[in-house]
Amino acid sequence: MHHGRGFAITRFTNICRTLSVILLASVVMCFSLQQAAGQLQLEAGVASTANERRVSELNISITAFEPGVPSDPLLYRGLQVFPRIRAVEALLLPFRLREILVETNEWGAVRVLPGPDVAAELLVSGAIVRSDGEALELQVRAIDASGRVWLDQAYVSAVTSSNGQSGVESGRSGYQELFDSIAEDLHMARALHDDKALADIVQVSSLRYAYELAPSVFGGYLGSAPDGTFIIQRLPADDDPMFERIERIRQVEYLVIDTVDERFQALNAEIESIYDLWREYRRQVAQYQNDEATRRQAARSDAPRGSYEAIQTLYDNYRWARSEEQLRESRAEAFDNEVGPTVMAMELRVAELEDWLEQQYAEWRNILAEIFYLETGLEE
Amino acid sequence: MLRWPSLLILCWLLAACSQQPTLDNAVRSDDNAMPADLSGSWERDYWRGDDVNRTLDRWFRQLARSTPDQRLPGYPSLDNPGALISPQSVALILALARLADVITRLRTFTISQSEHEISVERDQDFDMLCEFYDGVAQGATTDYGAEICGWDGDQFVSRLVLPDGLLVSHRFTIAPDSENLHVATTVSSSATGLSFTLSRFYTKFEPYPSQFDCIDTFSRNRVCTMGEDSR
Repeated sequence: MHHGRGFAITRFTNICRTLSVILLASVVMCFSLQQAAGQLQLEAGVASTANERRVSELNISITAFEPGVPSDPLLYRGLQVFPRIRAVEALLLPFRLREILVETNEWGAVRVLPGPDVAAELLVSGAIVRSDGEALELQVRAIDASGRVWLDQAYVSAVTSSNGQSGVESGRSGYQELFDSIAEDLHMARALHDDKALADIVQVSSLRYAYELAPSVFGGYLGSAPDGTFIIQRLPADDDPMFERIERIRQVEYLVIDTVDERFQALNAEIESIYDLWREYRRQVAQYQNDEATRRQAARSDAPRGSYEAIQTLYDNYRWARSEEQLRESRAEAFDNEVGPTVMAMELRVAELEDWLEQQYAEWRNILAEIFYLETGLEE
Repeated sequence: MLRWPSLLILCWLLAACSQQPTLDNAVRSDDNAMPADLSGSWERDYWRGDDVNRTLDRWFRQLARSTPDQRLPGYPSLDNPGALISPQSVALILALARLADVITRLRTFTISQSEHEISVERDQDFDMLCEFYDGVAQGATTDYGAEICGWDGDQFVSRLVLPDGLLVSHRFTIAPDSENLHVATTVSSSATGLSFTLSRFYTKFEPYPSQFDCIDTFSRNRVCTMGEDSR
């Protein structure tokens, strides 16, 4: 009887667990189906699932760029790096790249993510090496789901307007050539892969995503090549229910990202015009500094050494340099004052998205583990 | 020709007059507390402090008095500085004095002080900035010179090192009542060893409170709203 009571409790617990899992799973699946349908409307003209697109149209995930701010405050002051403005650029520039890639009509969905997506079909990351109004230098890396590096190189662009004249221009056109080069290099890198290789990348991406959610179920599907890249060992059946669930979960995640992405774009539009002014200001300052340095080099004081005119020139040169530096800092502060609330809102939304995804992942993992347990009797 | 003892005296005099800051201990003390609080708005006290002409006059008199036996033939006047140093040196000391006078003409300035930074904001001139991170004092540096700063006891010292051995240093000493500030500004030429110091005194004042809350923005410049008290 002792055994029977324990068995009854276990059985009751299992029933409750089964019911709750079925309920949760139904909610997730129902939600995901509705949202997936909605996504197709939202993403009209942009194929997002492997079945609806050409094999060459890989989905691209672009992560927010590394702002490239030295940790030492004294160092970044010397380099004229303004951390808050770099934070804006780190969020803005991936969207510029995204726009260019979308316009090529050569890729699947192109998304900007707050953090790295290891299972992305093609993950593009970047770091700002230099951005001072005169030039933009990015270190860009693209790696596919199997772990192959498509490109890893620096891109430099001197900021000029389309007609070669100075003046306020759209930030987009200012960096057009740089982002065009990245798009072109991605295009060239893809041309090195045949359809089979590209299809494999899509499958590896799905399997890596599945492995992230249900490691014990999908642990044996991928292996490692000697060069460290992922290779497919075997594939799930076409009607594998667990794999189908995971695919649907992924669509839900994409939907959330796309919704947040739209909000980001609205915020970017707010910041962009101010950022263009800032960039133009920095460009003018850099130009002025160059002109001033040249002028000073050419016209050093002819006053006799030790005369008042000579020592006044020495002092005035320093005063001019420091005053210019302070002016730049005050303008940076003014820029920060203006965009600060918007940037904070963006950062908050990024944090919310990350929290949401983290919670959802944990929930999805639990549900999948429960389903797996119910279907197989094996613990995850 | 000057003899060695006279040279030594001359050097001591020059050193004493120059009040060169000692920056060996430019590293702040370990407890992260600033030795003194200089923050506030400061207004020049014209009743006190040096007059540049009188200071120059005193400087030359002292120099002359210190080595009366070194006057050269043809320079009978006791007060004639030309008896002791070359015309070039005289021109230089006058130039140093003039620059010291120009630099210290400001009527008011504001000192902001935090745990990691001291900033002296001056009209018509650059802000002197001294940052303290990891216990090390760090001033600004440009292609045209560098600022070295730090605490010398409870005196804050900022020294600007410029090309051709030109140095401009400011030594800030706050009175025990915290309402008065003494600033000794020394302009010197390390190449010649000549220097000139001017003392200025300042009293603390409370700026008239504005009825507006203002903020600098990039695209709209300064934006002000009515302050809380005015509504």
